[in-house]
Amino acid sequence: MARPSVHGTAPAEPLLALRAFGCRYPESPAPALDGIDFTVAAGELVAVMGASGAGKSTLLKCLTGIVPSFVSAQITGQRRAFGRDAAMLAPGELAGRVGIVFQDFEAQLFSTSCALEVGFAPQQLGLPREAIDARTRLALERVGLDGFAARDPATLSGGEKQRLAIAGILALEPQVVLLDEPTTDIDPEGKRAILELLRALRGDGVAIVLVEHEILAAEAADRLVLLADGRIVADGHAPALLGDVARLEHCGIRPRDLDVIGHRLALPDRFATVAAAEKALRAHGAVPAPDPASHERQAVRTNGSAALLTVDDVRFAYESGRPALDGISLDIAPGEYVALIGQNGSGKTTLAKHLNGLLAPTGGAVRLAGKDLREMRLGEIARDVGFVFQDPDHQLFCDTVEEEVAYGPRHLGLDAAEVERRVARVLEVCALRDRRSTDPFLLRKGERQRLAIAAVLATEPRVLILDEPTTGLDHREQRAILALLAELHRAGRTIVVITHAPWLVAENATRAILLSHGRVLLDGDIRQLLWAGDVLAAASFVLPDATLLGLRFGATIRSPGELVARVRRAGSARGAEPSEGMA
Amino acid sequence: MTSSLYVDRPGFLHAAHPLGKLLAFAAFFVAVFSLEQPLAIAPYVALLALAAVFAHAGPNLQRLRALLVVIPLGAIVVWTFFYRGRGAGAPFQPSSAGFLFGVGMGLKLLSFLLLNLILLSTTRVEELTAAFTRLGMPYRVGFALTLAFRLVPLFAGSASTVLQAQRLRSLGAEVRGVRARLAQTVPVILAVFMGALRRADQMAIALDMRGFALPGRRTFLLERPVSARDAVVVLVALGAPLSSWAIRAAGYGVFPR
Repeated sequence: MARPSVHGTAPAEPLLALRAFGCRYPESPAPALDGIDFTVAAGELVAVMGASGAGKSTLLKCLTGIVPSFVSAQITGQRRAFGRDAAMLAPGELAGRVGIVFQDFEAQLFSTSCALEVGFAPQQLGLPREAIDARTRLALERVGLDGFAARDPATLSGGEKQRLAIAGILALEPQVVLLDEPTTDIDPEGKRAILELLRALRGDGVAIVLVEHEILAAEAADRLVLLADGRIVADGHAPALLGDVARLEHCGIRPRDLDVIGHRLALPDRFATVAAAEKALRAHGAVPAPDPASHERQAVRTNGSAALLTVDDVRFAYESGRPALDGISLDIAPGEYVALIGQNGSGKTTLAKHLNGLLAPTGGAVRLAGKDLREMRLGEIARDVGFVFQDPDHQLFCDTVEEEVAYGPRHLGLDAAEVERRVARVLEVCALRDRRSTDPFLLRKGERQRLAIAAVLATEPRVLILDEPTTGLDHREQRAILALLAELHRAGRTIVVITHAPWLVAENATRAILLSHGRVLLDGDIRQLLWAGDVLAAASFVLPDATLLGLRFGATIRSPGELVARVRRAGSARGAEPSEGMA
Repeated sequence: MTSSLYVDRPGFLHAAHPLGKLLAFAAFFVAVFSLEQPLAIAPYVALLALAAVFAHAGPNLQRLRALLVVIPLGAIVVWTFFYRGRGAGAPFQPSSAGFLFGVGMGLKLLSFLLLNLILLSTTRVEELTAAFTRLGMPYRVGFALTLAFRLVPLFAGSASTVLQAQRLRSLGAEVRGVRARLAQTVPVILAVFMGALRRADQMAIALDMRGFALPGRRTFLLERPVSARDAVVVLVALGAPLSSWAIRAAGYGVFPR
């Protein structure tokens, strides 16, 4: 079916289409895609969302023919590309017209400099050198990597690599751009910039299909397609579907804060901006209660004697000589829940790797309970400081889930009964009891992430450091991980989490440390930091809408739920009847 | 960690044509490997070491210092015991003839490592692809050959992360005995191997989608024009096998049979 162009009234011929399409992987009990009718036309930006395993990535691979050309699968229905039957069209034949950014963006990078990486595709097209240089410069500039031309891609941070992968596709100047979770590792401001860029491309007539877990993508899109269990459960005008909070949550998607607030307060209208939400709340007399006295700004703990981890004027440079940490000093006390935040390349992971001795400072010192980490062996440090890598696959190597969890306790020399007790308890806490005998590589990403945490947790470290633990997970999986961390924190464990998700920081952390160019820009109690929006924004960190809305009422709000609760509390205190439209 | 051994600094060899450097590589290889006596090989090794310093390969020499020591030493030890030529002792008995032969072999291997380091420190893998294509090799074959240079450091990085994770999760427990060590190594190899396979698979798809399989003429951004410095490189390079053959013709350089 040809649908009307969003920008005009004339129906646009789809550039790529799947009709009555189905896909089933070998030995898979259920189809990955079933009865799919999907099109994308020139100048259209389509967001495809859904829970993990809903079929989003498969949809992109089928559109390009990667499935079944590279990945074997049983296909039914019709695939069309640029107006003709594409059943026999190899993916490579679409090169130049269709560009795709994969979820595993690192596998897409193979050159020795950013300029050569971006220029790779134009070289294959045989373009003149001047045209390649011009395309390369423009593509790097558009993704915010101007000045990176000579850098080796391997030395970039995760977010920078992701931008580079996008630039490599932009340099092709394709008619269709397909992106599979292209902003997972990019800082909040960078995400917005990438989405702005996609909207600009759409304006140039490029067709874009964007697979994402984050609702920000749907906000930028013209059309939103929701997938569940391989089927399209909704396909329509994005702004209309965005307000359907219940349906989005059912599909494993975190709805917009403003929609959640409007939904829970049963306000009749949707608001597109924080300013509009403020106006609507005031109009309905729905003003949140002010901060209680306990929310007074708290000083950050700086008492070295109480600190569990002490970072003292730490400096570090990689072998290229580029400084990554530039005189960092901070203390982490027992029982804190610390979020390390900052834009891509700010030094978050580098700092975290200093906290467990994986990296040694070139200047200064890191101390664990007063002892210099350089005087301790790595294994000795790991008993107290557990580290969960960003990619769980790097730390899983046993045959079953049970063995994976038992690996650490066994190396602690614990007796069999104690190992079994810990394994049982950790599997219970991490909701993996039913997967005890499963091969870790057969688990879904969210389960593997929980297993990676479980494996570290079983050794009962005092500090748990997690590098972007919610990346690539759907909202249900993210909630499961965060609930687990909250429980550990309540039990007295010290948590340090590196993240780009503003809502995760606002809702969960007790303290945030903002890094910028290897220095600490801000460090404080989470509610204190919520008032520093300007400084946070300067470091590419955008506060969640619920927080921004709360600040307009002079309240530090950490989640949509807290704002709704405070509105209700204020209403009860006034003894006022809820105005029309308020629950 | 960088993805290749290339050192991005201006230098005489950096600006030389990759074909000239490949020719020089082959010429020095032939020169050194046609000799056996340590005293005859040593000047070539010294020349290559000097070239490595001038090629700004210092960081790579530092990075691979273990290989540069272990491989030649290994050769000396092995040949000291297993040399079977003239002057060799009883089987598995060390001999001075074997030791001298081993030193020669060690120097040859060292020169081979230095040649590789000089080439890869001064030449991007993309330049090598262009050079192979210029030699008439099909582009896809040339790319595949140089892909190894691109992938090895990436896999090494991945292996290093897996090893880090394993060290952390082993909590410093010491593993004793060959069987226990092997049992601990196998999962690491498997994790790296599985990751490498997945990555290679993804890379093949990504390459295709970025026009790798398209027919027609390509542009090579790193194609260099031939210059006077290339003539110098080629002349010096040709001097290596010529001098080596001259040494042999004079009755030196090899052990008597």
